[in-house]
Amino acid sequence: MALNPITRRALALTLRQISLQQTAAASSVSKIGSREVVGFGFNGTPCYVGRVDFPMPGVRFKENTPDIQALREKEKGDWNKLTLEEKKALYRTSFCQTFSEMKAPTGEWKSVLGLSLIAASLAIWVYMWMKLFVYSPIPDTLSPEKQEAQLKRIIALKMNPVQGISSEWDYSKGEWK
Amino acid sequence: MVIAKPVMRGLLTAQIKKHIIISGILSFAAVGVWKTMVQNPRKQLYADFYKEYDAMAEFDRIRNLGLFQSCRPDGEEE
Repeated sequence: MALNPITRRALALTLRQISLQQTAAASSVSKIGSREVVGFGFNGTPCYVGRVDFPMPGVRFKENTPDIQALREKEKGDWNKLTLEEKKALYRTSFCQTFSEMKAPTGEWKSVLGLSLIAASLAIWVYMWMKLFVYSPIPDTLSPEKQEAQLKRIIALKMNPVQGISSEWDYSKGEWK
Repeated sequence: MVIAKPVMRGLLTAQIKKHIIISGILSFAAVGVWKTMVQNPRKQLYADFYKEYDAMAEFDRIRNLGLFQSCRPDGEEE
């Protein structure tokens, strides 16, 4: 009643926006601590991921401590005055791993190969159980005598005579070439 | 310790160009090998087989073995 409806509504909207921003900032700040946000990052959130294809995380790796702050002040001057150890320390404050550490092989392929082979051998056990207890007997047309009779008929009909089975049979001698 | 400055730009273009050249060479090589080692011998085998192929003689041979259902061997009755 003290404020007219338009002012009251504008105030409510602004307050809601501010509280939303504070909630978002609060949840990020509580996760990153005092680490400095340095850019957009690969997805717009202030999170650190060491990616070879996007080497610019949105946030530094280490929190700002007094000696890191001293290094930063020195970094603002001439870089030739920095020692190699200081340069390396500055790198490690911003990044967790170097490129060679990120790209180093993990040996994961060995576990993948091993587990795949174990799964394949389990499948073979399952097949043997199925053959013993589930499948009915195979038809008698697969017996050796009947297979031989079928092969004789195939050769007599001269099936696949150019490059296939009948090309291996010597018809003048009546035996395999 | 001074090392050469690494290449900073045009990496994808260079990679694509190299890959196109390699894939072109490999494709031509694969086709060449297939043609000379598979295609041409196969054509020759077929040509040799059909150079002296008597279809009627083959038909009579199979018929006299009794393998046809529509026509019986020589000397048999219907």
